[in-house]
Amino acid sequence: MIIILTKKATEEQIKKMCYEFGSYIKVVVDIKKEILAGGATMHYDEEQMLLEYGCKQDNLWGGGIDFATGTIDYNSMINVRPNQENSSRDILSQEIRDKFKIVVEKLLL
Amino acid sequence: MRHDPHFSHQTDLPLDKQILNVSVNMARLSEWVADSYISHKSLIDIFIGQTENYLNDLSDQNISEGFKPTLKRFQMEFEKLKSEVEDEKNRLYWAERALTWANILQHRAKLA
Repeated sequence: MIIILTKKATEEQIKKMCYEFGSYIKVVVDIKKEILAGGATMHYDEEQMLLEYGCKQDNLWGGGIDFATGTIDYNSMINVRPNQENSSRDILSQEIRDKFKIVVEKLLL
Repeated sequence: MRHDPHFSHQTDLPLDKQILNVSVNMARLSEWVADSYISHKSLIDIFIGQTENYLNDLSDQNISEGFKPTLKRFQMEFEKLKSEVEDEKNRLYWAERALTWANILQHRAKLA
């Protein structure tokens, strides 16, 4: 189930988002609005929901959080953006990675 | 028979490293299937085969109880991915699933 979080997630929301991968959640973060969408099988679906929510593509970045280990990753097919100097599925910019991490920690941990 | 130090086996590695090898393979496969399936077809087949061997090796080892559910789930997903890799209509979906599991295994390797 995809949920858009604008404030810290409840336990119930986290449980729902963990349904697909059992304690791992794929997320797309809007680093400007500091919100995220999580819980889908594909980052693309989360990205689409956030675009419909009014987010701008340039501010959306994908990754994941694993509650079993408390670790965050910055990998997603949607991160490949040559026009933003990100030619990898990994978020290359340390600045964007830091912003991504802050939002994930604020809303999910 | 002399043991050649240049040819170590996957099972010579600690379990977390074995899992990371699987993770790295899944990331490679994701990239090749997404970006260049036709030109990498033979490599894709080789690395799917290698990953399958790695998983078979793991099943004979002492995996921690904490990691077993993840491994079991991945084994099921891997079987599906193996059977669907030639489906040209869903390459990006296949690649995303492979990348997702590369990430999950990377996170959880230390639990093995």
